[in-house]
Amino acid sequence: MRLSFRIAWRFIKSSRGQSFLIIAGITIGVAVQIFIGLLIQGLQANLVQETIGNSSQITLRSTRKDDLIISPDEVVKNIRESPYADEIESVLAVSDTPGIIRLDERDYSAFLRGFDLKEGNKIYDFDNTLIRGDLPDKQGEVIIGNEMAKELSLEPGDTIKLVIPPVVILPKTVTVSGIFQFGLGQANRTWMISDLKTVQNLRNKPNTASSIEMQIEEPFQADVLATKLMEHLKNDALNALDWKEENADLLSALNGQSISSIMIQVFVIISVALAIASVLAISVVQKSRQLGILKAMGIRNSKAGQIFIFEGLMLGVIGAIMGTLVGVGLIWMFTTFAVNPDGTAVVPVYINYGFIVLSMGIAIASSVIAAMIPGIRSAKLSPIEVIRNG
Amino acid sequence: MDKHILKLENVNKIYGTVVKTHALKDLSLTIGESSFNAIIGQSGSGKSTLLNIIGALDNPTSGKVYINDKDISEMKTNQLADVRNQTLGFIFQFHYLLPEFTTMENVLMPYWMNNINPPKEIIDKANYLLDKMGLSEVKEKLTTQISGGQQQRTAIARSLINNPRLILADEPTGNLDSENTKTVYDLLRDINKEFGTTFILVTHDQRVAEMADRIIELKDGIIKMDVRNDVQ
Repeated sequence: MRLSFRIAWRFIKSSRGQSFLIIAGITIGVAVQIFIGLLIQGLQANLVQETIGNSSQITLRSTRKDDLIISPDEVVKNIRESPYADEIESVLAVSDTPGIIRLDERDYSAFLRGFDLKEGNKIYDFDNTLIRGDLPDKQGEVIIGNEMAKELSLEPGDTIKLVIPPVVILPKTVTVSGIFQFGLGQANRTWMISDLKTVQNLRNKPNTASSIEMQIEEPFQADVLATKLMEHLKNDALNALDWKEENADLLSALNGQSISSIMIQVFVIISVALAIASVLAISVVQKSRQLGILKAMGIRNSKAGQIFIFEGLMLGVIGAIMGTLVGVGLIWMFTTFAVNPDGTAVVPVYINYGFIVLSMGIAIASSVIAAMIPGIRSAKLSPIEVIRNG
Repeated sequence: MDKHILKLENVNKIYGTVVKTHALKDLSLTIGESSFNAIIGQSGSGKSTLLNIIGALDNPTSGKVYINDKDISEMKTNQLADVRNQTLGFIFQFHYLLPEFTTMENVLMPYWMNNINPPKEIIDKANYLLDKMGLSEVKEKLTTQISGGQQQRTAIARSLINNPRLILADEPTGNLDSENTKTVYDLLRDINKEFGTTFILVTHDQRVAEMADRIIELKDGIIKMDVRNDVQ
């Protein structure tokens, strides 16, 4: 075993040009694989984040006629104490209602949402999305979207007259405490956010909520978790909706992207493996004289075959390491130089170590498999042919 | 009868399936322990075929080959490899060294096949053999960087590292000038005396053949002449 390893290493060192070609081939293959893989993963993560990052991934709604969840705090508590609590990042009782902002000349329709702002920060990330003013900290304060603020020329401190259904009730006055900007245009135009109590009071429906919203650790497991939660809660007055149901088109697009990414990677691997196999096959012919000598001196066929397997292994390992460096380097360049005007990367890329290790493993494994063909040829080579033919 | 190391019984070798070449015809031969033998004959007389069969590199079509009283014609490939490694030593006309390795490493190669970490006595032995062959100066050089005579002497040192009982040499001096031929021949004869190693030399160099204890001449696959030589 170690003799085969030693001979393989000498063979690699002595035929530098050939070794360089194989290593370059593996390097390029692994680099392309890692670059494309990480880029597509980054794109997908980015897309998913933009689509569902600032929204509920599992939503519980009431099945009652009046669409109200009674004692939402109980339900939230029940979820937090369930065996699935670890899988849930945040859970939020939300009371929302359409409303009309009454202006002197016209009315402007809005959507009022109230929830625990501290818990809601986990979903809506107010630390970054609140661009002016402060979060509501008193009854009767709201924050509004930047587009609504622009449209209605509102600034923090201004008051709004708001009509909440049933419209027979007189308009109520709320104060703008801050302005937010989410990724979602609809929200920026129409949403008004306040704490749960304020909205419950404005609606005159204390101790109720319209929905319970959750963000979870594994968004792609939303449907599974939703089913498990419903079984746990055993509450007929609730039903669950997950984001995957509502975004089937996006999911099929992501799926298509993943498949095309896998296709690219499979073909890269195949071409790398073929390149290795063909160069090593030539190498067996070139080294047949040496193999004949070794066999005449009594090396066993299995060891003679192992020489090429080790060559494949070593070339694979070197190529995989270099390919990873180049691939990660390309990703680094991409995220550093392909940037938006504000300096953030066009596609934020996450270095997925598991994927890199997997890519290296696949490259090394395919190098070894590719080396088996020349390995078998080398094992079968008869010393007499070499001795006789010189 | 002397103690023998090699015995061939009715060995036939036929090449080809359509056009058959009968390279060895019912050949029987016994080689005594510690003897120094030369096989001569013209091209195509079957002498290289004979050497390859003795060397467990090629199988006879029929007949038995015994080395140290063991029938090698019945052996599996791995057993044959071990016989080549342990009992036999090869010296070829075209040196057949590994160009990727140094002179020292080439000499150690047959030992490495059993143990990649040779003990000190094996290193000492390799040094002794290299010294005896006059190769101490070049032992760390790659074999591509040394002269033809040095390469052939490296091959001889290599053939000795595992203490083989029988050394097979195919035209060992065929590629060398007369001065180097004499040196190599003297070395082989020296080893024969020092270690009691049996030698079978294939040669068509009449001067080399005449220095052997026994001369066997092949013609068309049969032994035409087999004489004891008392020149020594």
